[in-house]
Amino acid sequence: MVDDKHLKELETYADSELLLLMSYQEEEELEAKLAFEAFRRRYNNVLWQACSKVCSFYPQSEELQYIVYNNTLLSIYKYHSYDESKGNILLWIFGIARNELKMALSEINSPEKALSEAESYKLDLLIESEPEEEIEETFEASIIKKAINTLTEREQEILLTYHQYSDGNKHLPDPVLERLKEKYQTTSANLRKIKQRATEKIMAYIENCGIKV
Amino acid sequence: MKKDFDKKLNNSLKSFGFLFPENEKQLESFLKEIQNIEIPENIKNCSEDFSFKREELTKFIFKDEGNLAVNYLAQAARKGGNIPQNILKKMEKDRDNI
Repeated sequence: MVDDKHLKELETYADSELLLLMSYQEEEELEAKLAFEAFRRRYNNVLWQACSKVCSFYPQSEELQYIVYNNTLLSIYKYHSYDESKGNILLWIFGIARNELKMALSEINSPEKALSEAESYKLDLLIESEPEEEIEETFEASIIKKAINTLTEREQEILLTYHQYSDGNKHLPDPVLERLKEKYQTTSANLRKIKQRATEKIMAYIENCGIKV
Repeated sequence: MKKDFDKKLNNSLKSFGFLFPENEKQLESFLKEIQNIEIPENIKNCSEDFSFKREELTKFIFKDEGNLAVNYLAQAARKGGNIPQNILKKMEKDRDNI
């Protein structure tokens, strides 16, 4: 079914050309799907690796990883809305993957509630928000990894979930909050306390390494 | 100070693979973190056709131990599509453990 010769030719096209061809999926579905295939071959491996790494910190990690990977590719095909002037295409792809992870985590325990939330996340693909003030400083990779390892599985999941939304200080969307409350049989207030305690544990670990925070 | 710490922590999480990166600097570190992650044969180089179907986790069962739900089963409802063998095995194992 796949026209290998034409696919090889498409593999030489620029990202923007492939995404443009994908936008013709109603008029020329076969060509759009071939363009998608060429695009997928270009970014498949790095997307899989990224999903593997980020999803490894959540429950059901293997299923979650596959779902985020698959749905990210599907959203790329459906929305193909990359704007070259906005920077590296990998950031765009990973932005979609981030949305898909949020959607998957919302849907895990409340598919009905997640439906409306999912729709709003889909809109995020089209409407890019203003970037927050960026800071360049990070802690050392080895220290932050060890610090995260001192947390319990519950603390890790709650802390990372909060940090998916802004810098961990924003309220979580209701479906996400409900999932965590049900999973850990606790209240919203306790979730915030657990997140706070996890942050303090990381802070203490870093200070114990002789680093001023 | 606390807010600065949160920002620096957030930046670190996005740089070292705990969250997806959002800027060029984070991306650079993130790509180094993931470069050696093994890719299954059925995923590598797109050896299988893409299904063009959305995948969802639809079932979630808790098994409580005290106040902490520590065990669960998730079953992905996939209508056809390409389910990697390692994922199917993991799902069977999870089911047996319930």
